[in-house]
Amino acid sequence: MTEGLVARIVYQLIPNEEDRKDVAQDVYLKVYRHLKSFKFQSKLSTWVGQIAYNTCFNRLQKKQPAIYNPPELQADDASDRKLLQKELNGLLAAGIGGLPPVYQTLIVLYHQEELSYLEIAGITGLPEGTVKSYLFRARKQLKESMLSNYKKEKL
Amino acid sequence: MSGTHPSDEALQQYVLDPSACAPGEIDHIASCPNCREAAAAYRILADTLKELPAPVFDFDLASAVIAQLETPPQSKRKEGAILTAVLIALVVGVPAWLFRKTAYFVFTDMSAEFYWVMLASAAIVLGLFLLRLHKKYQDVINLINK
Repeated sequence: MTEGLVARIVYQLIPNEEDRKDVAQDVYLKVYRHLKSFKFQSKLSTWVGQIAYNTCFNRLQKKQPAIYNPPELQADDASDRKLLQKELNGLLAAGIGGLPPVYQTLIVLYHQEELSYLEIAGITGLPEGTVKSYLFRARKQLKESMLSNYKKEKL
Repeated sequence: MSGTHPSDEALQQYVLDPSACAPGEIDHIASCPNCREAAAAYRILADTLKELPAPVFDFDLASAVIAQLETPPQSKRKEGAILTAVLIALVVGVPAWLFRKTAYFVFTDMSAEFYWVMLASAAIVLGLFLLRLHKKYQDVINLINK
């Protein structure tokens, strides 16, 4: 139930495949060990997300942030739309990878996990207003980076 | 069309939740080619973000975690159960033994009204306790299933 959320956060922030496995296990071991301290004041997924976010950031303090490349689309369904989508995905993945780790997490949680500002604030420990303003800045940066990379590729 | 272009924040708002935009801003964006283009870029961004494939762990996370969990030693659990049973036997058995001659009359000398009042009170308390327990259980299940 929470594995998808944890996978999003871990894949976005942890660059190395082996480290991802370690971090994911670490997250759920922490969940198991601290389950008694969960007071049902938030959703279980928010609590698990918070543990995943903090675990990744602790790991990040030692290592470089990740650039998550989403799986490529199949070569045999190379219609124009698929090709364009593939190109956009690539540009976007590169753009997200260029953002600061906090922005990356916010973008993933809001646009891909479709969490509310309140839930994201619960996971990241940031005030709701800060989440909103960081998201605005992240989108602006992402749009600019996508446009400039797109123009570069077309040249 | 009003002269000033809406802020970048307003353009994002227009794409994500147009109902939160001021009517003047919506009119401007609809009639200004530059703003329409910028809003379209944000729309593509939002749509593409949604369509990015979700990452999936390429290993069995549950098995990996379970393998790392340390199980408490069986002997310790057994010792705990025996200790609890002995404590309960002492707490119930010792007073029952000490007051075995008088305890019986506490119930036999009780008036019928008092007996029923006690029984009804116990039933109400038990009912409320079960109701509360059920509500708490439902709350937890709802929270987990959200």
